[in-house]
Amino acid sequence: MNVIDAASPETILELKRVFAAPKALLFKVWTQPEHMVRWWGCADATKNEIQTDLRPGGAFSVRMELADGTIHRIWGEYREIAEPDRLVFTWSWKGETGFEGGDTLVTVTFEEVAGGTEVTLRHENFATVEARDSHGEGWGASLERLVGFLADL
Amino acid sequence: MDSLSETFQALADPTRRAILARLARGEASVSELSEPFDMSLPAVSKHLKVLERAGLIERGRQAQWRPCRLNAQGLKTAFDWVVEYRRFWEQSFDRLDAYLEEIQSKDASDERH
Repeated sequence: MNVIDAASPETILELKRVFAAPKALLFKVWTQPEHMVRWWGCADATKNEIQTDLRPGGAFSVRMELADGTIHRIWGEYREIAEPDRLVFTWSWKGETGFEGGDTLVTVTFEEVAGGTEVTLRHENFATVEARDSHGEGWGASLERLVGFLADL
Repeated sequence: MDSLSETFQALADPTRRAILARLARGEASVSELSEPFDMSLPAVSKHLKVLERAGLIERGRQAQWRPCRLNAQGLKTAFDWVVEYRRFWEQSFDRLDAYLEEIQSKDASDERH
């Protein structure tokens, strides 16, 4: 069973990338639907419909159509909007394929660096957030051992 | 609560993670599991129920000795979402890169006219 990518056995997803564009523009394309529809989604997303209500507590919703004709819905609520530095929102995902992504939290930060803006994206499950907050710890060695167990299967 | 959140809720507790780590070495009975944790049998049973409901472990059928073992499929589900989201965001980032290039070169040519 090919379970998980051994190089990334985490329960929190963190991605960083430098984009050749000013920070203000990055924040704009991350928050305005007319820009978001042009890049959000998997490579095989053919059509996006996006609505956003950009204020703390405001909702956003995405209807993403994939090349195979399946419809995926992503929705959530803005938790923090600190233009142009930081954006925090909740995220739920349900696909016609039966895929359910759970209740998760996304934190995006924008930082000026040489050559443009570094975007750091952190995507985690609520329970992971709660565990970290209440126990003041990461998932620790026990979980890593489990990941090792899975990799051996 | 959706099933993935239930799985993560189960995983969020350090004792339950330690129980899972113990089971990664092989199946064990409730009393074997209770020893290293200095916990009563009912307390361990309670954790096991949560883990079983979350699909992270399976229990044997024998009435007397119901060995617990890891459910690989349940664990896989808990880790799979990261793989799925990594794909989503990496591909989005690729598209964002191309889109930023497109709108910025358009702005530059607009300025020239």
